[in-house]
Amino acid sequence: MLEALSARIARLLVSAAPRAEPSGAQNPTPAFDVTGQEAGVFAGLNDLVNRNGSVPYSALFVRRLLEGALALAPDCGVRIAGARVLELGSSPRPGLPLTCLLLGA
Amino acid sequence: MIPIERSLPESSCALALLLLGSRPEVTAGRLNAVCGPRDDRGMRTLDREKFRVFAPMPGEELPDEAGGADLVFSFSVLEHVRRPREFLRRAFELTAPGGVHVHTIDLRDHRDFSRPLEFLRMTADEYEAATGGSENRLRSCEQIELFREAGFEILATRWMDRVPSVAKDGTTALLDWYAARVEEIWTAGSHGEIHPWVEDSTRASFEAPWRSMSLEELSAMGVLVVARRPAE
Repeated sequence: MLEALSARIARLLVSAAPRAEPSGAQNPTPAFDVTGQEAGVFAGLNDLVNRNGSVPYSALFVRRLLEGALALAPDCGVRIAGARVLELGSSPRPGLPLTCLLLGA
Repeated sequence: MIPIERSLPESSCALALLLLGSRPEVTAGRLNAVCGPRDDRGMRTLDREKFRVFAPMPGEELPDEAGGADLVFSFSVLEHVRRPREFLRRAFELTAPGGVHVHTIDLRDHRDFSRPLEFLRMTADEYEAATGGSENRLRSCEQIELFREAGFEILATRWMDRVPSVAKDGTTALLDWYAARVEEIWTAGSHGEIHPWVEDSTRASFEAPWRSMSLEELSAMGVLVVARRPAE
C-alpha cells in the first residue's frame, strides 16, 4: 500500500513540476482527482508555487519527506499529524515551510 | 530553484523550522491549520504562532524552546555539520522521549556530483583550503555511529550504493528522482547489501582514513537514517 501511495505521489509531483509558474501564479489545478492524503500534499505544492515558483526543488523535498514519513508510520508507530516537528536545514535563508507539508502526510 | 548554501560560516545547522504545539487543532490533510488566510495576492503566509524559525543558528546552539520534538528531520544536511557529535547531542536533547529522527545524508563530493569521491583524495588542509570545509566527509558507518553515541536507537537504515544520475549542468537530475521508487534510490537495505562499485586502485588513491575502509563503505553515496530517542 505504501509503495502504491508513494508511486501515486510521485506521479502527482511529476505532473506538478511542469506546471510550475512564476511567482504569483495561482492554483495550478491537477488534471485528476486527488483525495485524502494526497490532497494535503497538493495544497502544499500549490501554496509553494504561489509563493515563489520553486516547485521543482520543493517537490523533491516533499517526495523525500513523504518517503521517510510514510515508511516510519507502520514500523515505528509514529503519528505525523499533530506531531511537534523540528526541521533542520543547511541554508541560512529559510524560505519554505516544508514542515507544514507533513500535515498532508 | 532555491539556492542552497554549500558551506556554513561556523558549524552545523543554520536553519530550523519548528511546528509548535499543534496537537489539539491540527489533523491530517488540513494544511490550513498552520497557514493564515490568503492575502490580496492569493498568497498564504505561515501562522507565526505555530511556526518558529531559528535560522540562522548553529544546530548545537538551538534553544530549549525548540525542544520536545516528536519528529526531527533533515535532507542533505548532516554531511555539512562541522561538529556532528555536539550537533547530535543537542538534537537528542531537543527530541521528546520516543521521538523519531529521519535524516538523509548525501555522502558525495558536492563540488562535482559526477566525481563523487574526489574529495577523499585530499588531505584535511587541502580540502579546507579548496572548499572551506563544505562537507565533513564522514562515511555512512561513522554517521550512524554518531547517532548511537548520542543515545539514539537506530530503527532503520538504507543506503544509496549507486552514483545518482546527474543533469547536464551537474546538478541532481530531479525528475529522475521524482519518478523513481524508494528502493530504486535507496537500494541497499543493509550494509551487507551494498554493491561495491569502487575499485581497489581507486581506494588506493584516497587519503587516510578512507584508503583503509571497505569498498562497500566507500561505495555508499548516501545513507538514510531513522533513529529514535528511547522512551523514558
